[in-house]
This record gives sequence, structure tokens and C-alpha cells, in this order.
Amino acid sequence: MSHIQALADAYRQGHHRVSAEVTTRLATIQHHDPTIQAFLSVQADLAMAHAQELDQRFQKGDTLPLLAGIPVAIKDNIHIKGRHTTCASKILASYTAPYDATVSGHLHAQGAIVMGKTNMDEFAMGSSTEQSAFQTTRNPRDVTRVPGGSSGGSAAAVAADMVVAALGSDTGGSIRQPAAFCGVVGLKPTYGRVSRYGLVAFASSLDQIGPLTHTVEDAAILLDAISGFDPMDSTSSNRPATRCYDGLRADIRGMRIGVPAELLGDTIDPAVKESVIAALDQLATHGASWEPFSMPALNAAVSTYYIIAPAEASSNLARFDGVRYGYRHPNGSTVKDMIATSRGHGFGDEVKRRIIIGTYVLSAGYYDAYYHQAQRVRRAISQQFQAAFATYDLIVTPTAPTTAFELGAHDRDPLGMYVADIATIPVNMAGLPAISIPCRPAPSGLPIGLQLIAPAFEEQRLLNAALLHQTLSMPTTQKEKP
Amino acid sequence: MVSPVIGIEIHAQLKTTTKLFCGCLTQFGDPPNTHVCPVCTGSPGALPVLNKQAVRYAIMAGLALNGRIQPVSVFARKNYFYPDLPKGYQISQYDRPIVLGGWVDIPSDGGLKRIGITRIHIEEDAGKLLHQGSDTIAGSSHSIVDLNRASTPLIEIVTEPDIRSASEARWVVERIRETLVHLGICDGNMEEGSLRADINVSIREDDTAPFGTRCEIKNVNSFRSIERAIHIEMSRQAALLAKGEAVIQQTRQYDEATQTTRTLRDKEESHDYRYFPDPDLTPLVIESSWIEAIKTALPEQAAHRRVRYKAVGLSDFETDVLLADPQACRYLDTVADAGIPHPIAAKWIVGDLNAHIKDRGHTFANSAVPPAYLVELLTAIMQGTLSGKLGKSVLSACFETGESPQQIIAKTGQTQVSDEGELSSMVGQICAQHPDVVAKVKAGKGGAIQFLMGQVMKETKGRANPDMVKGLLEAHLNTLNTPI
Amino acid sequence: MILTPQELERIAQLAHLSLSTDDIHTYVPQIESILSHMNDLQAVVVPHEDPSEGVGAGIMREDHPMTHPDFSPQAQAPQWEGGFVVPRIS
Repeated sequence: MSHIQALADAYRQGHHRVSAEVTTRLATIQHHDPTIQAFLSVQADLAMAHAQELDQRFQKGDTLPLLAGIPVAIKDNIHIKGRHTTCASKILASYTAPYDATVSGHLHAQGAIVMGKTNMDEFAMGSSTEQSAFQTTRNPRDVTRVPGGSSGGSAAAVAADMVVAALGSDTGGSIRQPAAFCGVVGLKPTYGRVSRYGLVAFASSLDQIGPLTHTVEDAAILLDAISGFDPMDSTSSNRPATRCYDGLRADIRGMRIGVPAELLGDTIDPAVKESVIAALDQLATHGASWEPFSMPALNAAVSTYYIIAPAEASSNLARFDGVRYGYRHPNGSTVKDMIATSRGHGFGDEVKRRIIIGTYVLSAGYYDAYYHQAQRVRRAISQQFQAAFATYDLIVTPTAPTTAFELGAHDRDPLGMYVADIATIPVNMAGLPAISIPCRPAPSGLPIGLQLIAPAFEEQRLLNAALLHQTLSMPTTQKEKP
Repeated sequence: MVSPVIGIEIHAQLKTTTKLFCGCLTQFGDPPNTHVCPVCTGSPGALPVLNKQAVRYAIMAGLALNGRIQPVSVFARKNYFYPDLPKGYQISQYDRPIVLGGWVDIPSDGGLKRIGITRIHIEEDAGKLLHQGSDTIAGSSHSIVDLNRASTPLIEIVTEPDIRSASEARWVVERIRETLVHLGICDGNMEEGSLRADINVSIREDDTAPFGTRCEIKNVNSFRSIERAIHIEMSRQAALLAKGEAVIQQTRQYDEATQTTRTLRDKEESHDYRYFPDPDLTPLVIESSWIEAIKTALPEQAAHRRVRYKAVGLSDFETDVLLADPQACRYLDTVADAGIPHPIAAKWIVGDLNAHIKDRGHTFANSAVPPAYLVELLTAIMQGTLSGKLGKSVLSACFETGESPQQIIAKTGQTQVSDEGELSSMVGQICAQHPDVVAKVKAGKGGAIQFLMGQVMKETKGRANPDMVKGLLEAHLNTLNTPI
Repeated sequence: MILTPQELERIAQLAHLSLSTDDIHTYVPQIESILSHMNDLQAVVVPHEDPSEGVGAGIMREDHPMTHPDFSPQAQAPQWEGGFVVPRIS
């Protein structure tokens, strides 16, 4: 049930033209985005020109890659050469990407049509996309609510059918949580699976780029397209691109699933818990088995993350000093002044808070107690996952403790929002692959996400299990579609 | 009486083709910001990838300086803000450097003194700031940032505080520089900045007293400055202590023009570098097989050459001149391999050849007189077909024309005459022509023989083998009877 | 552990972030509450550290030049006179 495959077939069979597809999508954007605000920039002319070029090639009978003519969106912290990369920050408001991110190069080579760049929390720091300096994205399922973050724009663009697929980035849940809130599929690959070259770094040891799509098959196709060793990224793993789409099998027989008890407790919304358990029980009737188990290190995961991520971010964002690019405050009379005022005015509150926290935990006198200790705890978390995977084939959790909250709900307590990442953060800490797939919505109608976690580099296993769940959750009429 | 304790930090630029973490060229002298890319300009989204050659060079330095190459070392970020630092941090190594330990021997009191090395690590260089005066359009001072140098590979070599005098300090820098230059990994040019030395100086009453508070001196750009800066700093610290004041630990800038050191205010606040392992780079794992391969391929080291040259009879002076230029050493070794004894070759290389090369701005690797030419020349001299004096003019001619000695000699007929028969008859002739001079010689006026020699040389247009002529003259004169 | 406004200012200076007095007063309680949770970490039992664990041979590149003919660093610089211009270093 791949939307990408359906489109690709239609193009090749001559039933549908790429330019018609792009026109439809642009109309959807034009109609809905004034409300949803998913896009920071739309490149309609470029998209149409690209579409027309592809139409000619399809007509000629050229053999084109699967992604040719598929409309996609890209989070605005990933470079496309010649287009703005703002990271939703004033400090990069008019920054033009001087080179393509590796993933952008892949998508371009595969003929995907980039419709535009999507909104996000500033520098990917946030869980609601409310921290964007430019606009607030709304959840297409309920426009009084957040789409999640930080890849909220990408999730909303997919959920609102403005594009077939989008790329986001995930450092502590920023692909998975918005996917859960918006009712779409969001995949965070194993750390090192996808190149980070051209992704504006937030926390280098945690960041990964991944796809947001409607279906598991489409997530597999995107992963195949963007993954693989990159000599420009020293942290990219020495493995070729995945071939998960070819290997997809809706199969879960014999799989043992573990569910951390810490993530099925009181901190989780009852509606979420019910939906997740229902999904697990359904999988159990199709050959899997599940049981709760304890991962005590999870209790310290949020604290650990909020030391490591800001620490790395405080260093990664030091390059934004107004010297070579980006916003420069006009009245600085000395260099130090100029740098401090440019950053003070150019960065938003959440970014400044995190830079301060990061600087603090790395500073003399605090390094051992905070940063160094956090790295040790992180390794404990990794090891507990490893131990768990000796027993279980998959670990499953709710993606988020709640459904999408209202816009403005966490304005006064940033910490409240941090705790919402309890289920997603540990995955980044351990560098594991994880996917959020929609399960039964809440009685309110709001989407709920089920998170599947696999051992490192086992995306095939992950996607296969996700596919089975997707198949089981489809309404009966749809299952009969060819 | 003030006793100094000195430690030195040397930064050496590695002669790789490209930068430490990107493929930009490391060449200099080009317009600003022409050898740059997203990585070395700290563009968002760019990532570092380590240059293997830089690691190889660092390992070579570690081996030549007798250090222990660490199988696992870690790159760390040194965080501070400065316009010549594009990322807002320098990628360096902190508590897990690539080399630990080591030593260098320096001449001391007629023997050798061993100075310990604490560590060597790899780091990237910063860009350059070109400060502009106040006569700009805007009317205010500003600086221009040139990032061509940003991310050039450096190794930092830190000595133990084993140094006890300014001249020892100078030796340490000279010998370390020589080591690196002979490895071919660094130009060692202090004036241009490919070798920089920061000196840490403290003083104490005597060798048994505990170490005093040290100050770091920067901007020491020549060997002479090293000694001067240390003396100035020692005096400054002594004067403070004499007044009952304390020496404050600080960084000071040496000013050659005014012969003073002054506090560097800019960098003072950034003491808190917030080092942490760079998450964009994996730990550097070095297999022992790679270290062994590098060890086997090491060129002959300076220290070893020094010992070898002494053993084959070169003077200290000749050795020093040669070792200052590894190309000259290679030249010498090539000539010696062709059969010319070292002392003979060295005399010519250090003397005439060196002078010609310097005058013409050539180098030993690239001059009008390759080793083969010198071999020809010296062989002729050794065989006696060319006098030393003629040899010098032949050498000059080689430089002028680029031709080989043999070609020049053939052209000008400058071969030395060493045919005994020919010279013998000439001697006879000259003596017959100057009986009065012969009489003077027989009468005991030995100096007169010079006149006869001169005549033979004149007759042969300077080509006669002078030693042979002398011998033949003396022999001939002996056979002559003293006239009545 | 209490984060004072002075401490916050010191950190902001280190991070070259100019903050208004309002900013400082807003941030202090927010950051303090976050930092206070960090003390959780002290209670966690951590595994023994093995420095070579999880270390893969990192990639290294050969010393070959790579040019970026399209890359013009000055293109987005706030001011340009053959380099990036900054105010005086004090």
C-alpha cells in the first residue's frame, strides 16, 4: 500500500502526469497552508519545472528511479543548495545553503520533487514547533493543537497531503513524536545509517535524518534512498544503502516483544496506554508475544539527554557569531560586543536557555558531575537496551505520553515539555532505530503513536513488524484494494 | 642569583597537501579566503574528516622524538570565541593525545643533556586576522579575517620543565626543529610561522627551591628572540620578587622592537575551554602494524646523521651547516655513495657549492650542479687531473653554463697536466733558461725555487700539477752541479 | 544547588550571549528547575568504563585536494573587503 509505488506506477502507465500531481499538491498547499503553516518556503516554479522535465522523460520511455516525480518536503535544517536554510531562526533568516546535504543529493538523483522547506522548532530544539521564530504550525487533525516537534512542519505537510513524504531530523524524538501527534509514520534510523553532512547540527551524537510518510512502505523507500556510507561524515557507518523496500514482509511470527514498565505507568495518558495495549494484543494474535519488563535506566534518560544535547548544541551553535554569515547586529563596536548582541538578538529563548545549560554543564567545576556523569549514564542505558535485546526481538512503547496538546499549553514550563520525550529520548541515547506508527486514535479522535524499537541496523525487522501492524489496523475495505 | 625553570610548547605546521579535516590546499601566499570550503569556514552542516597523512606525520614526529604512540587517542573541542576561529571551537586533543612521553638531547657542557617531552598532540590551526589601521572610510579600526590557514594541521609538542637556561631553551627549539625538518614533515620556518614556540618561564632562588609561578611568553619568532625573551622575562620576574610582589600567572606577548613582554588581555578570559570529546569524530585507533610500517619507512633522522657525520670525520661546523638543510645532507650522501670520501665532499659542499647556491637562490635539490657533477669534479681533483684552484673556476663555470665539469674542461682545455715525462722536460727547459736563478737556489736561497715553479706554471698556462712540478724541480736541481 | 542571576550572567558571557535583565530573571528559575533534576544522575549505577569499547576504526581521508568552485564564502558575509571584516578586537 505504498503511495509512492502507486504514483510511480501511474506515471509509467501514462495515467497520470507529474505536472498534474505537482499542480494538485500546490493547490492543496495554497488552500490549507495559510492555516496549517507547515512550509517556511515553497518553491513552486522550481517544482513545476522539475515536473515538466520528468514528464518529458517519462513520455520518452526513460527508465527512472522509483522516487522520480514524487512530491516531498524537507525540514528547514537540511541544506538544498541555492535555497534558504533558516532552521526557523532569525539568525539564519536569509542564509542560502552553499551546498547540498548528502540526503538532498540522493533525493535529487532519484528525481524526487522538493516542494519546499518545512517549519520546525528553532534549531530543532523543542517538541511542538512553537519555538519557530517565524510561524506556528498547526496540527492538521486539530488546528488548535500542536503538530509536535521539532519536525512539526514535515509531519503536518504529510498529514495534510501537501506532499507524499517529508524528511525530518530526530535528536530526542523530533521525527517520531510529531508523527504520533499528526497520525503519520515517522522513522528514525540507526545512528550512522544516514549521513548528517548538510544537516545543521543540534546534538551531533544524537541527530539523525529520517522520513515521515503515510505508510510503512513509503518509509522503507525513503530510507533506501537516503541511507548509506558517506565519506563526508566521519560518524556515518560503513554500510551501503539499505534495501528495506524489497525485503518488506508483514511478518511477526515468533517475535518476542518487550515493553518497559516504566513507559506504561502513571506518566502515560490512559487513552494512550489503552491504544498501545490493544495494538500489542492484536500483534500477539498474529504470532508475536509481549510482556512488560523493567529498564530502570529510563528514569534518568531525560536528565541525561538534557545535559548531553544542550552541551553539544552549545558548542555546535558557537559558529553563529555574525562574522562569516547570518545575522549581524549593526551596532557592535568591538568584536565581543558584536558577537554577543548578534547571538542575543538572533537566537530565541529556548535556544538561549539550552546554550546556557550546555555551557554550564561543560564548564570547569561542573564537567565531571554533569557531562561526564551523563555520558556514563548514557552507556548504562545503551547496555540495558543491549541486554533487553538478548531476550526480546523488539521493544515497544507508546511514542508519547499524551496526544497532541494545545498550542500554548507549555508556555510557562519548558520542563513540562521536556518530560514528554520520555519514550523517545532513550532511543537516541542508544543510537537505535525506531519507528512511530499510528495505532487506534483516542476517543477524542486525536492520533496516537506506537513506537517500535529494534537493535542497531535492524531496520528491516522494524519495518516488517510495523508493516504487519499497519496491515492489521487498516479498515477491512481498504485491505481488499489491489 | 636567579635560577630559571623553562618549559616550551612548540606548534609545528605539518606539510600535508590538504588541511586537517577537509580537502582544501594548505598553500600560502594566495589571496584571502581562496583555499576554503564549508568545513574549514565553519558553515552550518559541515563535518570534519581526518587527514590520514597528518596522522602519519604526527606518528613520525612521535617516533623521532622517542615518544610512545597511543593506540587510542581522542579529538576534543576547545571552545572559545574569536573571529579567526570559524566554528567557535578548535578541534584539538586534550586528555588522550596521540603521543605521550619522549625526549630530545641537546648539547650541554661538552656533552648531552636530555630534555623530556610530555606529550604531542594533533590540532587544527586558526585563520589569520589582518588588523587594519584607523584610516578607513568608516573612520574606525577593523580587522579582516583570512581563513586560508584555518584548519591547517599542527602538532603541538610540549616539553617537560627540564630546561634550565635561555641557551638550553634555544637548543631545544633548534633540535626539535631540526628533527621535524629532517623528517620532511615541517618547513620549520619561525619567521613565517610554520614553527612557533611559546615559552613558559618561572624563576626560583636555586635548584633546590620549589618551582615559582610561571608566565607564558608568546610571539617569539626567531631563535635569538627565544633567548632574549627569556632573559627579559627572568629580569621582570626577579624585579617583582625583589620588590616583595608576587608573579601573577599570565600570558605575555614578547615585543622584539621594545625588548619587553606585556600582558595579552584578549585571551585572558577564555581560560574555561570546556573541553569535551568531539562527537563528530570517532576515537583515533592506530594499529601497531601501521606504526611499524611508518617506523621502517622513516628517513634518516637528524640525530643519527649528526653522529654518522662525526664518525666519518666531519667537523662540528660542517655538520651544523649540513644539518640545517636536509637537502644538503642528501646531496652529500649521494656524492659519498659515488665514492667521494665524506670530508672532501663536505668541504666543497659547505664551502663553494653552498655559496654559489645561496647567491643564485637555488636549493640543493634543485641547482645547476647536481651531485653527479660534483662527483665528476672531485674525482678529477682526486686523480690529479685538476687542481683545486682550477676546480673552483670550473665549478663557477658549471653554474654559469649548466654544463658538466667534463664538458667545461674539454672546452677550455683546463685539464691538469700530470704527465711526468712532459713536465720533466719542461722543468729541464726552464732551468736551462734561468741559470742565474738556479745558482741562487743552489746557494741556499730556497725562495728562488718559487720563481722557477712560476715559470713552469706559466708555460703550462697554470695547468701543471703543482706538487709534481715541485718534486721534479727539486729532483732536477739536485742533479745539477753547483757551478764553480 | 542554586543558580544565581550572577552565575547565569557569567555563563551567558562565556557563551557570548547578550541577555536583557528580563531574560535573566525569566531564565533563572526555568534553568534552575531543569538543573535540579540533573542530580538524579548521581544515583545511577554506571558501568565500568573501558576506553576502547565501541571504538570502530574511524574513517580517514587520503591527502588529496578537493575543490569547491561554487563555494564563495564571502557571498553571505555581512561585509566584504577581500575577507570577512569584523570590528576592532579590543
